[in-house]
Amino acid sequence: MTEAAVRTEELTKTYWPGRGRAKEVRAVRGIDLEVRRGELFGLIGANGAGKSTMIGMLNTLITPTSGRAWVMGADVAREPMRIKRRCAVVGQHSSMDRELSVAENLEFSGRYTGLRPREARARAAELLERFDLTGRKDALAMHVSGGQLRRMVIARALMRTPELLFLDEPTAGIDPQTRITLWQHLDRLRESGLTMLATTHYLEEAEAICDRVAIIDGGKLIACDTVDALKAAGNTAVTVTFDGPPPVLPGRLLGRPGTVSSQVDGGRLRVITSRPDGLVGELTAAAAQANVSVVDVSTIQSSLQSVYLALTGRVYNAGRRVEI
Amino acid sequence: MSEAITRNESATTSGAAVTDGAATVYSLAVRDVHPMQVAWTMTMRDMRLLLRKQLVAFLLRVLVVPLLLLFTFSYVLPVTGGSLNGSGTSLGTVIIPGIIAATVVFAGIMGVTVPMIAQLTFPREIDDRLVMPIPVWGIALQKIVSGTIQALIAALIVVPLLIFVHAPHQPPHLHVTSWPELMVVFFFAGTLSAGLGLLIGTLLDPMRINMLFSVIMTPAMMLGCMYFSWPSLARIRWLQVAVLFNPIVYMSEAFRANLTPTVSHMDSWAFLLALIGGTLLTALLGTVTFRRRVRR
Repeated sequence: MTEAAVRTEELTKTYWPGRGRAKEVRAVRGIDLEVRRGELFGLIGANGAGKSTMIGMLNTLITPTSGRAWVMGADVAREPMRIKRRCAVVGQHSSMDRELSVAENLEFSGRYTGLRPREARARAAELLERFDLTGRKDALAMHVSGGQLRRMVIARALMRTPELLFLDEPTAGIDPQTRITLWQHLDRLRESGLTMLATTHYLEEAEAICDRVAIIDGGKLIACDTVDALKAAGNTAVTVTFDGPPPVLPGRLLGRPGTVSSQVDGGRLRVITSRPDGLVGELTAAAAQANVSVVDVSTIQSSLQSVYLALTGRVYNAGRRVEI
Repeated sequence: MSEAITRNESATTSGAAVTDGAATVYSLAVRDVHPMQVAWTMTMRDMRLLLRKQLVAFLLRVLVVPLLLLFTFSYVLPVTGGSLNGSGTSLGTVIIPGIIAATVVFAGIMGVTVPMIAQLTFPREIDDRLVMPIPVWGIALQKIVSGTIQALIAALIVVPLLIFVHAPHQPPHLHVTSWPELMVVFFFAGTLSAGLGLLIGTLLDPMRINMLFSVIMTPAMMLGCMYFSWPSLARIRWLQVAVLFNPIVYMSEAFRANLTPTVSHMDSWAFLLALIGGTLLTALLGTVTFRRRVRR
């Protein structure tokens, strides 16, 4: 069996009071996780959920309080150097050498991992081209735009020829168009076989690019599966609009297997169900019997948004948790 | 993919090709890079930044204070009839070792402390270094190496000026008693200064950086035996003992012993012990405080 890229057992991190903290914070609470080789794995959750702490423990920047973790077979507590040699990190805040040019940032990153200057220049030129940064290669890093900076830090991480790439909020704070461009870059990297572990609080991002996702809330892992599997476990909203009173009483629909709720608003019937198959057909048939016509049918598939809501009891709104 | 990159893959320990469509985009080879090579590259990066991007700022930082001191003590005071010790020794001769010490210590401390504070504050640029294939203590020691080089470059720039800037007909009387010992003194003055920079940079609250000048640097300079020799403090015994806690004293005395031996100075064994011992102590303490500071 192929060894997992990342494996954790009861991984826990508690920040003790001090350094600006008034009380202890249990950021990660006993998480068991496995990331397979070659997949783009997403850690999703609201701000403060524990995603960055989790990724920090895996890339050796943060010391776990208890539990164990292995990255590419190396124990994070006992073999940090093995992990540093095999992984690269794209941090949340795009830290870089501000006074060096974009190209120099890449070149030094390559030289840190053993490339000779000429090799580093060649690799940098190749990655600058791939990330559409050739035109800005001589600009100082502190003078490029936010989107260019994010592309630069990802390109810089790839100078290190990693086996595993950690991406902490790779698209945070950039415009939607640049975000989509970055998704395309990440997608290409995934197709090339690179294992990636990314945190994000954009659910649509996780849906679009991740092979599997783990939902973290309050430092705990509350779900882990493929996006499709998680969505399949969620609910679908079916809204049917009639040209008269709905032919089926909402109460009757509650007896249908999978129905979570049902309500009528004028001629519109809205049903939330985990088993939407055949529902529209049944309602259309009932309408025909009652001499009522169906005017409109809309189906809203289950999304990570609804899954998150079902699992945490909270609405997810751009990284902020809203209690309902 | 360039030939150069392909060739370097022979030096790898494991790896697999990554492909993008038909073409190989890059190698997933894991390079067995030695931490010393990482530290060397970090030092090269620091030097490139210093000499290509921050050269003017560095020169101003290095030159302004020594030149002002030299101008005042070696030109203005002699011309206006001021005197330092009445021994007949020119003011320039007395003060030059102290100015060299101040130059070295200022460049060494600033070369480490200021970038350190910048890297430790948001967005924590230090994290970039911490994920490199080098132990945390290796990063701390690399900063001392980088600071030492800056201190020595500063000395190389300032020392020639000291020989030429003086009052008419009152050149400083410099005489190197032992070149090897002078080189040792320069080296360990640099390492001690950089070690102090690491210690200060990891202990000082970034919001209190102004204290670096008002509470640490200025008192240390004023009481660092720059303007007077340590033996001459015998008449103020308590001060002579108190200043022994000031590392700049040993640097000033070490340069005095090796450049102006006619001026009374501390014994060689004392300043060499202090410079080497101080270097080891500050490097050890600085590494501990660095680890504590970056650990989360």
